[in-house]
Amino acid sequence: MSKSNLVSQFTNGLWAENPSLVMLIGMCPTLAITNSVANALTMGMATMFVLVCSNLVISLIRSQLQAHLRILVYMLIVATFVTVADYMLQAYLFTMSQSLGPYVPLIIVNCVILARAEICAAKKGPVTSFVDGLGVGLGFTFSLTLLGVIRELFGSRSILNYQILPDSFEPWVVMVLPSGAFLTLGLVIGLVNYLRSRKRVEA
Amino acid sequence: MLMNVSNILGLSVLVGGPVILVGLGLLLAVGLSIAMIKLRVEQDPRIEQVEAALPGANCGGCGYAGCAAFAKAVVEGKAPVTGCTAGGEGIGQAIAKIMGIKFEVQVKTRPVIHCAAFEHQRKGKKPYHGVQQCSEANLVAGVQGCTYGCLGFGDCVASCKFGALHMDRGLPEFDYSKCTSCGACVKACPRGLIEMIPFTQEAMLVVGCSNRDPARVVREVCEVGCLGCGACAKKSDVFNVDQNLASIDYNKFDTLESLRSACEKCPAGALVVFGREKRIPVKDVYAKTQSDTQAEAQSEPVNS
Amino acid sequence: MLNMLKQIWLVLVLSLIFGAALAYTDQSTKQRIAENRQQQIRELAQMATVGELVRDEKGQAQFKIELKKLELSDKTLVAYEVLPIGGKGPRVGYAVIGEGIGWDRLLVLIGLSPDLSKITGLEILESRETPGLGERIKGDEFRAQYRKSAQKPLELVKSTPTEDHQVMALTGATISSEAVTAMVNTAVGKVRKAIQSNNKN
Repeated sequence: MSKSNLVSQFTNGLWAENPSLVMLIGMCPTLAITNSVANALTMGMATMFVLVCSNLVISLIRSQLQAHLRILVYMLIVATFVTVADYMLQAYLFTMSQSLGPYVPLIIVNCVILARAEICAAKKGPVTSFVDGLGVGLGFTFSLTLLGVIRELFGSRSILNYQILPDSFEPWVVMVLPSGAFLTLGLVIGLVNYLRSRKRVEA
Repeated sequence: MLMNVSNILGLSVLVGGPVILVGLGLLLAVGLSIAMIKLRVEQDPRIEQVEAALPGANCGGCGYAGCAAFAKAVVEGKAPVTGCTAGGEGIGQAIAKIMGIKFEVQVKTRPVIHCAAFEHQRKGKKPYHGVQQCSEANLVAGVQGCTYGCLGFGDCVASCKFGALHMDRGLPEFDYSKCTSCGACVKACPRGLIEMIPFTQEAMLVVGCSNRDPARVVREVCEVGCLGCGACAKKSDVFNVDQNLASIDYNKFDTLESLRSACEKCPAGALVVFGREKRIPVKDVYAKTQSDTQAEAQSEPVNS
Repeated sequence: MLNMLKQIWLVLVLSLIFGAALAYTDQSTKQRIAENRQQQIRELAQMATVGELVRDEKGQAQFKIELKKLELSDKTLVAYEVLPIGGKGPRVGYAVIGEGIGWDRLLVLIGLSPDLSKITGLEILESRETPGLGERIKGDEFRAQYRKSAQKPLELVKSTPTEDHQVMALTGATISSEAVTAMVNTAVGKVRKAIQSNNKN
């Protein structure tokens, strides 16, 4: 696997196949926990950890996978890493794990992870899969954080709990509600599509 | 949960956890294995063999939903063994061998486009800021003067899974070394300009126009459009002019050279040759062959 | 059978490895997680009884109290005796955990005076109410209303309270307000009964 291929595998997840802004998978955490930057960042990091680990392990055992036991093995691997991540959060970032609530265990059924396992890890070598997990994970973290910044800024006047907008600014409560998540996501996807189409015309 | 169960069993978590997971894994894996054996659908083993021989691109060029569907159709006798256009002769032969049928060589069909007007040769172009796709631009009146010709946004290029197409000055260029004749570009063109034609020769002559308007209107919108004058048809019966547009009957098509006199009569420049490296206006092809023969003629005495 | 074993060995090996990994993680983090929980309860208990909590520069709470879990016959009730740090001196009060459902699971911590006659504070332990609406039960103003006599069950009203045992509901968050009030009433009633029967024995 040449260097440029690895780079393109990495940027692929970051932008071209960004899970939540382009592929529109992993919507549950994207909508549910982006009401603050800290939540979004932690969720993105936890997902990236699970994604990288599961990609790596699945890629290492891919030659031994039986078609009919494949999903069982995936779930076993993913569930293990999610549980580890959940315990680590509870032990070292207690308040954060409290505010993320049930969404950390729900990473197990995050579509992003299973999709990458099927598309990439089950077919490609460990190095590629590792880089792919890193790229997609970072792309996921990036899009979650972007939504988090917008929603926290307008919904709570702050970013990472530091007040940015003045007191005279009345917070838009809708931004921290689920409806704000849909609105922000829609607008951000629109923006991304605009940027992508402009790039294509220039090219 | 893990803790509760292992407490009941009287094991420490360190031992109980793995034991329970292994037990669960054994149960589930055996269950799945049994399910696979019992619930397996019996099917003709040749279907799998044919599918394995196919390229797996799922391009749909065969007219079936994908390679698996095509494999099934072949084994059931509904599709010809040569049906996989993307795979070419090699795969056709492999499938014929699996099916125990004699393989007959078929003429390769390839896509050509019935429009020869480069961007600068199209008249009456208006600024268009809508979605940059032919399918969208086609819905808007007046993007360009010619309502038959290529719009140049490259829907065909985007549809090609094999990278055999690229845009050159507003027209798609075919790279036949990559083309698998899947026909995706034919379906992608909203104006139906792309057609699959049998390549009996290495290079084929193509009418590079689809405009059926009278000559006066064609002149207004295009520099190279077919005027429907019928000059070519008078010289050779390979050509046929109907509703102001020339067409070529490829059943009668012989060699490029045999159509030389007819092509030289064309006042519009709508006839183009496909097949070598690039699309070439027919005049240039003949000019080149002439100079080639001259060059050979000159070099001959030196060699002998 | 041998053929099947050939197919499933990977599942078994992975189960074994991951089972061991999980058990190890569980063992190594269990204590810390429990400490985290306990720490949170202790912080809130101090807030609910003493009324203030000072933190040092590192954000570590400076405790004035410690908790002693009460052994009650009612196993569904979690309550603590709040003692001054080191256990010296008179009892500071009681802390009870109330559980209920608003829009989602709600956990509150109620501080009670040593003689159980007054509610000294209400803290929200766990809530996932709607931000901007039900989540306002976390606000100081709303919670301060509960600092009153615990002799009579509290009553939720939708206008300015006229009597002492009344609490005013949050506008647009009636369900959450109702849930909190009901939880407080149930928990206080239960703990009073339990402690009194404990004392008799």
